[in-house]
Amino acid sequence: MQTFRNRKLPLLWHQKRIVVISLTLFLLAFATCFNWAGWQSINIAKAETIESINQYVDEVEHPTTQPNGVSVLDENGQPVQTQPPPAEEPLDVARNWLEIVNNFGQLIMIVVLATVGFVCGTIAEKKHYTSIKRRELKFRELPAVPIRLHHFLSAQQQEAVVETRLVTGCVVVSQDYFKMILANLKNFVGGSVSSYESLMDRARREAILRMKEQAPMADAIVNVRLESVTMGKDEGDKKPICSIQVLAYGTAVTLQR
Amino acid sequence: MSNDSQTKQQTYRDMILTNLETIPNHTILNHFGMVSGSVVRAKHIGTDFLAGIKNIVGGELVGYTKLMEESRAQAVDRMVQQSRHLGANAITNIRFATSSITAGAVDLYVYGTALRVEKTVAPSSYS
Repeated sequence: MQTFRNRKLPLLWHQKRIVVISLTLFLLAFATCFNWAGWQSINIAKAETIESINQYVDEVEHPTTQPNGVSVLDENGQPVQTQPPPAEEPLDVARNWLEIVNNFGQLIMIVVLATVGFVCGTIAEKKHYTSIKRRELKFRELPAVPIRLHHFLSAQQQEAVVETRLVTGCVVVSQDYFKMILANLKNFVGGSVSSYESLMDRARREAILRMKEQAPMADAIVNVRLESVTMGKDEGDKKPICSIQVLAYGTAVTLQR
Repeated sequence: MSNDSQTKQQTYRDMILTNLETIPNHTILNHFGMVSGSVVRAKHIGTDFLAGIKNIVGGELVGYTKLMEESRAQAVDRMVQQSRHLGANAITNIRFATSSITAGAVDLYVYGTALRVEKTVAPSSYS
């Protein structure tokens, strides 16, 4: 009992770290891709302002026309010509590169997110499966069956039942960005979407395990029902927060020893 | 029995909750029909934002799991209140139904049959 009370779920072990890392990467990608546009426009605005001020100062110091509209003449009797503007400097390499980032920002962001999703998602899935297998071995003495009590226990055993209790286990999991892209691609050709299969499998097994953890001293959990629903998905939204919620519930039966 | 912080289970001393059709070793005295409890809950925007980020890397959405736990407990509590009002001491055949209404909100409905039962067969060592 003590172990159950103090133990944290192994799934939560690296949760905080993943959130921090992904937040940092997300902000970095965001800054790189989208801030450049604002920076550039500010620079352009600054340059335009300086240019217009210089022009104004030039006109005041060396006026080409008098207030009454007559053009100013120099010593030779010719009207004063303003100097032509200097030729525009070609963009340097760094500027070119940043322009590419600016133009293809969305694509780069998708690639970055997919990479982050692939790496973190694969690690998380591996860890989750390890913990699921370990806990399933631990709870193998406690059967969870989807059949009714009188099918599972004999009449003699049914008389020895001392406690029946409702137990539930629920879990909400989400797919990673890489899997979402894979599933979207798979949608074109059809067939089994294996990237979601493992996700659903993990969610259901985790829900059943959480249900078992609520009744570690029981003899069996009968009449188990599993229910799953897609949660927080907007059809019209371009980037939906797609997550799957699984609820497992059943009746924990304790027999007299 | 187990009071794990993650999987907290409310217990009712005066109420037997089960999703079986009958309770073993009990006789039904009265039958009060269907009782139900329903809850619609949503998380605040911070949790939604974190869930959006978590959606990139995948894995469990702890905030939403907590939301589900809370709403399930509340729905069961409402159902128990209703059956207490009727004078029942057991609810059998409990079923849960879930649906998502909008993004980030969840609707949980729980229903069962309220009964008044009495213990018949007492095992020898069980008082």
